[in-house]
Amino acid sequence: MELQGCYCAKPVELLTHETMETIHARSLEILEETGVVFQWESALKALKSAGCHVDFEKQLVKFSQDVVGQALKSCPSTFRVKARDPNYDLEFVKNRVYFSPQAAPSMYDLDTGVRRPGTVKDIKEITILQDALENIHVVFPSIVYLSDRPIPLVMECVLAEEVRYTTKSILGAAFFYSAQWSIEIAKAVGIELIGGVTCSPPLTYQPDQCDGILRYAKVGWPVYVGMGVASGATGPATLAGTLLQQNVEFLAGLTLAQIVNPGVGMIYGTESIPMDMRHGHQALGIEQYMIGAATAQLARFYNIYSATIESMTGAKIPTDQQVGYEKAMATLLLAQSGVSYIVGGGGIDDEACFSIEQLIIDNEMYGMVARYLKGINVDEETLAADLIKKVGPIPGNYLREAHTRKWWKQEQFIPTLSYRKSYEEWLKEGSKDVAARAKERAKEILRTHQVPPLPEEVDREIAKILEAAEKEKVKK
Amino acid sequence: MKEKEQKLLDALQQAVIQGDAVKTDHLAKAAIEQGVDPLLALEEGLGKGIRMVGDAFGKEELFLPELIIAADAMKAGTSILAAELKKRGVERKPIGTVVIGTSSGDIHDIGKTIVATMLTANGFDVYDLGVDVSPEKFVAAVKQHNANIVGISSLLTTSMINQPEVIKALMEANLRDKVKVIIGGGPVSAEWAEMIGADGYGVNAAEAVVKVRALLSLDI
Repeated sequence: MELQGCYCAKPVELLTHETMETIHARSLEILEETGVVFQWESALKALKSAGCHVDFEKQLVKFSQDVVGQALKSCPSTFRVKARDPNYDLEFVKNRVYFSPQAAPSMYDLDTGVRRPGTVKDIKEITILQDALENIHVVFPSIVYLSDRPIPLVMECVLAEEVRYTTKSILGAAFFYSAQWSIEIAKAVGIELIGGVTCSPPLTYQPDQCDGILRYAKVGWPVYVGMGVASGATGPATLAGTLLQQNVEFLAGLTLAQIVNPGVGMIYGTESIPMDMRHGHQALGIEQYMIGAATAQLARFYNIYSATIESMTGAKIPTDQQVGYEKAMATLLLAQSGVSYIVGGGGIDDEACFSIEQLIIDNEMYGMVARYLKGINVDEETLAADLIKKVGPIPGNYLREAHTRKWWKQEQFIPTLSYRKSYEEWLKEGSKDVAARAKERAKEILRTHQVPPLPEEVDREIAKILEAAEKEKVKK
Repeated sequence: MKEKEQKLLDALQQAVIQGDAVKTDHLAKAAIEQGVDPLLALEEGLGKGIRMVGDAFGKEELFLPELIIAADAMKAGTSILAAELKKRGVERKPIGTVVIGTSSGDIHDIGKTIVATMLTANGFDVYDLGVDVSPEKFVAAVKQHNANIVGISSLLTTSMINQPEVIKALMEANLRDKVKVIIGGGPVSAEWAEMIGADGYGVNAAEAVVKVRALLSLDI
């Protein structure tokens, strides 16, 4: 069975092998001499029992080279993530590339274009869209603040909607200690999650994220550890220094996960972005993509998998050209660099806002990039030497040839949004720009796309889990 | 008889959809042999098939490569049936007769071929004169086929200037009032059409059909 996803045959490389050896050696030094903070008792205990030097008062862990080496050795070279529909299982294998949306705390309203807080209904609609969109491979918790749910319960409520409205694979989170309940919800449905956790630079894992690593590793689901260094503020200002610091942080998280469950899948994530010292905002742009590309290379160096956000564009609305050039540059570069899991669909304004139009546009862009990754298919039939001889010079043409009928659709990416007709036709069809066309496509999908419902007893089970989570997390 | 006739009409229709010119040729001959009314075979066989292909093209279910071979298949069958009608002295009145070609000095074939195909698919009798067509050839073809539409294509600005030469030749042959002239091609515009005294300009093949229908006062 052919699983979804793209394949990057020949990744672009920004780093030499020697550079990566150096980054690795310096990482081991820093892990041993400076160490990393884990603000969670049971994480400290697990690391201690594996032979790390732990200062419980400072919550600081220093790693011996042996412990880290052992952890790296136990990482699997391939793993699978189970979806509701087995056709949508993820299979992390060498050079596989997946696309996924990103998270944001607010919504760009599809009808009014006004920015507003998200709701459960938004999650439902965005999940249905993700389920339908052909180039979205992993469903992502797109809105991380819901005005109609208690804040500590947001991740669980988001996941509950996602499992109802998609049969694709899903990324789970750990914020607000949601890993425990997320795992229960996924188990009730019979699926697995990618367990997403983040490090807080410099060199610190916060309590809920430690809890996430422990729980996702224990259940045996892949652990996605994301680093978000702000170069110049929470890490060195140099790209090389940023890569080194996030490598230290990642290896620390990886070691904890492998101690808990040797052989659990690992994803090396980054959303590191320099700080723009002119005003203190993030320097959203090309350096971020370069860090992502280099991270993919480091992940391959360790024979594991990588993830990064395609572009946290600073543009505020989906019709701004800045969204287009930033996302296009980022996505193509990152896919060419063989990033295993590219996040970012639907995101605008520095991860602050989610736009459905943008998700539809990004899906189109992913389709084009997927076409690039397919490469140029060369054999006797595609070269068509015999055909060129047969058709000959003008007035020969290829429109009548069976070869044309067979191949044109296989060779071309056929867009659903990009406009290619004449100016006159464009006027006649209402002078719509790409965001307007994306909005129409979104509405069409929402009107027609059907997701098989969960069995009633599973739905009831999820409701019970949410109730239990609320009792423990909110009413306490 | 009725059932057999229907089977033949269906087969003609299918052969057009499949773009099989050999089959439409055979089936058109078979229709005549079996006593099927050639007008019926034209309208309910070939015509129905090409209309279905045209609709599917409009809905983006079929594409140019299929449309073009369907039009070829349609033409192969039509020439057999039209010859038979002529032999019987039956007058057939197509909705319009088009002669089309690329103007002299220009050997670009594709755009004009697509327009010819779309017009064929919409029920017009189309005579494609090919590329590098001189004004004299246009005039001769209008006379020969009793055409009421002349289509002149140019991809080059250097050949575009030969389009008014065709119009001039039609005037000199006293044919200008009898035909509507449409022009098209990359550098051509509505302004240019007006300047040289053409009757219409289509920005693309679909538009060309709309313009021709309007010029002939057919329902749009």
